[in-house]
Amino acid sequence: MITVQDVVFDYPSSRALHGVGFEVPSGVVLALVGPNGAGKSTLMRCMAALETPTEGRIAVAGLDTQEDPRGVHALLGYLPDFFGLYDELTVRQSLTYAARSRGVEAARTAQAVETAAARVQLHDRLGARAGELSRGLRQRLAIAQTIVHAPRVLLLDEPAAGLDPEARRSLSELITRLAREGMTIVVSSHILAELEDYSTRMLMIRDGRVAGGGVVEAGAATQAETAAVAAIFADPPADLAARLAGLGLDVRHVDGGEAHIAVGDGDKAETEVLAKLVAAGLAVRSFTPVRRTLEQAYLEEAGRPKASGEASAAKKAAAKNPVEGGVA
Amino acid sequence: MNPELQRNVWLETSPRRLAWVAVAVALVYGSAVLLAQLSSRPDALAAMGTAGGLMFFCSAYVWGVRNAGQSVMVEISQRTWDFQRLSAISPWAMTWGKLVGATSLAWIVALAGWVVSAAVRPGENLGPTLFSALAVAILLQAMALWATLVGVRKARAEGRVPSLRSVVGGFLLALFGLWLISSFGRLLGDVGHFNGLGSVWLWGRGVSMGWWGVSLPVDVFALLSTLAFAAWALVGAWRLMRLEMQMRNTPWIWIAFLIFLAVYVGGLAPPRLSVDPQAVELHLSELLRSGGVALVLGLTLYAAAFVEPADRVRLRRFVETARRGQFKTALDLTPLILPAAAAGLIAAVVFAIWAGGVHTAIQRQGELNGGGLAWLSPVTVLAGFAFVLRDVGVVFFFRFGPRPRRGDFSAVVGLVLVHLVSHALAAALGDNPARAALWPMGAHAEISLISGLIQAAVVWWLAWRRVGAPERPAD
Repeated sequence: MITVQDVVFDYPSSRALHGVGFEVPSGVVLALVGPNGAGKSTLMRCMAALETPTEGRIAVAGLDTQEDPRGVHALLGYLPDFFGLYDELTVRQSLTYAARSRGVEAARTAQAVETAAARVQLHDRLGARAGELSRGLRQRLAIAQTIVHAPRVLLLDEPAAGLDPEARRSLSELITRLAREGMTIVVSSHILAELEDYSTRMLMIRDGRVAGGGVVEAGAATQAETAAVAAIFADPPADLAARLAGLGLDVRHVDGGEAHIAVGDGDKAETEVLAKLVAAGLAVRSFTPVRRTLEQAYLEEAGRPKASGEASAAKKAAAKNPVEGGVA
Repeated sequence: MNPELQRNVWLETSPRRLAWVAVAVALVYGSAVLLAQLSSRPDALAAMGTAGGLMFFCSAYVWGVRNAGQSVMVEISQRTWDFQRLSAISPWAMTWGKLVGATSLAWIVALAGWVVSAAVRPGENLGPTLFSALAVAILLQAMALWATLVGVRKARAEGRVPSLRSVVGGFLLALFGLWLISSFGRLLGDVGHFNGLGSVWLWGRGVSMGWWGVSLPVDVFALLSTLAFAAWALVGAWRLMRLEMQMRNTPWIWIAFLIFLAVYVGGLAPPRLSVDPQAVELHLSELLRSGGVALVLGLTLYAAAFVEPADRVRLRRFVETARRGQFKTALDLTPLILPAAAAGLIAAVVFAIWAGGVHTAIQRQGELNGGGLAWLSPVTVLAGFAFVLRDVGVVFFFRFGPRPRRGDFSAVVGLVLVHLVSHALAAALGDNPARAALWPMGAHAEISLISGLIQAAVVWWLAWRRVGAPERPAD
C-alpha cells in the first residue's frame, strides 16, 4: 500500500532523513517507533505528500506523492502530532466542513458526519462546541475529521500524546476497529506501550535512518502466533532446567520457578507441552502464552547488527535516548 | 457552497457577532448625529456621510485587510493549515473562500458605510471614485492574502514560523512597489514627462491623462488600474495557494504579469512627438518608454529575488532536472528570477537600441551633440544590466547563507555594503578610468560592461556554491 524508496529529506540547515526505504502492506497497522527527533514526523509528512523529499520516491496506493500529490491527499487521512480544531464550531459543523473539504458530496455529507461521529463515539455530542471538549474528546473529533471521507490509508502522528489511560484505551479500540475495517494505518510514537495493543508491524527509525531489520512483525500480530509459553511451577526442583531439557523441550530460559519454553504453531503444540510437564510430575501453577512484545521487538531490532556497522551506534543511541515505556 | 466560504461565514458572521456589530455601528452613527446636533452648524446628513466614510475606511482597509491576511496566519497558529492543505478544495476556491469569508463581516459594515456615504451626496458625480474605493479594498485585501502566503512559504523554507511582522512588512513593501509603478511619471517629474497616478489615485478628478495615446479621465484610469492590479493580486494569491497545496506552477502566469507590467508602464510614457524615423524626438520618446519599462522590470527582478523562498532543494532540483533534459519538470521549478531576468534583459536591449538611435539622430541633426544624453550608450545600458545581475547574485549569496532566518536582512545589508564600498572606491579613484569598473558609466562603458559581467559571474559562482553545499546531519 505504501512504498518508500531511498527517501532523503533536507531541512534548511540539516538532513532529517537519510535514504529511508520500506514497504507497508495493505491492511496492517504499522508502528513507526524511535526516539524523539529520529525523523518520524518528517517521514509521515512526506508520506502525506505535505513535504517533497529531496531525493527518493514515495508511492501510496500506486500514486506517486510528487507526481500526484492531490491524488494522494484524497486517499489518505493524516493527523499531525500537534493538531488544531476550530474551537468556535460545533462538532457537527467541524465534521461537515471536514467532509465537504475532503470531497464528500453534499448529498452524502450528513450521513458521513453521522458515521464518523459514531465511529469515535461522539454522536451524542454533535451540538457541542469543539472548544468545550476535553483533551480526549478533542482527539476523537480530530480523528473523526481525519477519517470522515473514509480514507484507505490513515497516518497518525503521536495520537495518544497527552491522553489519559481511559482515552488511550478508547483510541486503541478505535484503531483496532478501523484496521479491522480494512484501513492501512501508520501510527508513530515514542511510547511503545500504547502501540502494543493494535500494531501488527513495527518499523524503527533512528537518526533519520531505518534501524534494525526494516518492517517486522510485532505487537498484535504475534498474539495469535504464540512462539513460547511461560510456565510457573509450584515447588520447583533444583534441577528444573535439566529436567525440562530431559523432556525434549526447547527451553529458552529458566529463572527460579519460571521457565520460558518454545512451542510450535497452534493450540495443540501448547497442549502437548503442558501434558509433558504434568506427566513428568511437575506442579504447574501457571501456564501462559508469551508473545513477542513491541518492546522485545524493539530491543531485538535495536541490537541487530547492520551492514553499515551501525549496531553499536544504535545501542549507544538507545542508551542515550531511551524510548518511553520501552527500553527505559 | 464553497466549504471554505461556509466555514468562514460560520465563524465570522455568527448571530452573536452580527448583533454586537449592529450595536457598534448604531452607536457610531448615533454619536455622529449627536455631535452634529451639538455643533454650531448642525448637519446630520453630512455627519452620517462622514461617519459612513470612516466606517468604510476602517472596515474595508484596516479590518478587512487584517482579516484577509489572518485567514491563513490563524490556520497556521491554530495548527489547522495542514488539514486545509490536504483538502480536496481547489486552490481557487480556497483563495476566494478565504478572501470573501474571512472579510464577510468587515464587508457588511464597510458596504453599509459606503452606501451611506454615497447616499448623502447624491448631487456629486462620485461614480468612478466610489467604485475605485471598493476596488482599492479588494486590491488591498487580495494583496494581504498574497503577502501572507509569500511569508508562509518563505518561513517554511527558512525553518521558522511565519511572523505577522514580516508579513505586514512584505505587504507594505508590495504596496509601495505598486504605488511606485503607478506613479512613475510623478516621481520622474519634468525629466520624464511620464503620466502616472501618484496622489490622485483616490481623489483625482476632472483631469485627463494619456495611456498609449488614449485619453482617459484620471479617476477612470485609477479605477481601471486598481481593478487590473487587484486581479493580479488575486491571481498571485491563487498561484501561491496552488503551491501550498503541493501543486506545481508553470512560469507562464508570471511571464504574463511581466508583460502586463511592461505594457502598463510603457503606456504611461509621453506620446510620440514625431513619427519621423529620422527625428530625435521620436527616438527620445521611445528611449523614455523603453527606459521606464527596463527600470520597472529591473526593480521587479530585485523584488523577485526576495519574494521567492530561499529553497535550495527546489533550486537544485530545477538545475538537476534541466540538466537531465526533463524540461517539463524543470519548467515547474523555474525560479521567478529567471523569467524576470530574461524580461529585464529584453527591456535593456530595447533600451540600448533606442539609446543608440538617439546618439545617431543627434549626430545626424547636429543638435545636442555631446549634450546631457551623451553618457547613455547601448554599452552603458548593458553594463547597467550586468551590475543588476551582480546585485541579484549578492541577494542569493546572502539569502542562501548558513543562517537562512536572517537571509533577507543579510542580503539588504550586503547590497548596501557593496554599493557603499563601490562608491567610496570610485570617489577615491577620482577621474581614473578604473572607476568604470565599479559602476556603470558612460565614459569607458566597455570597462563597466566587462567588470559587471566578471563581478556577476564571481558572485553567482559563490552563491551557487552555497546552494549546492551538502546538508549537515541533524543534531
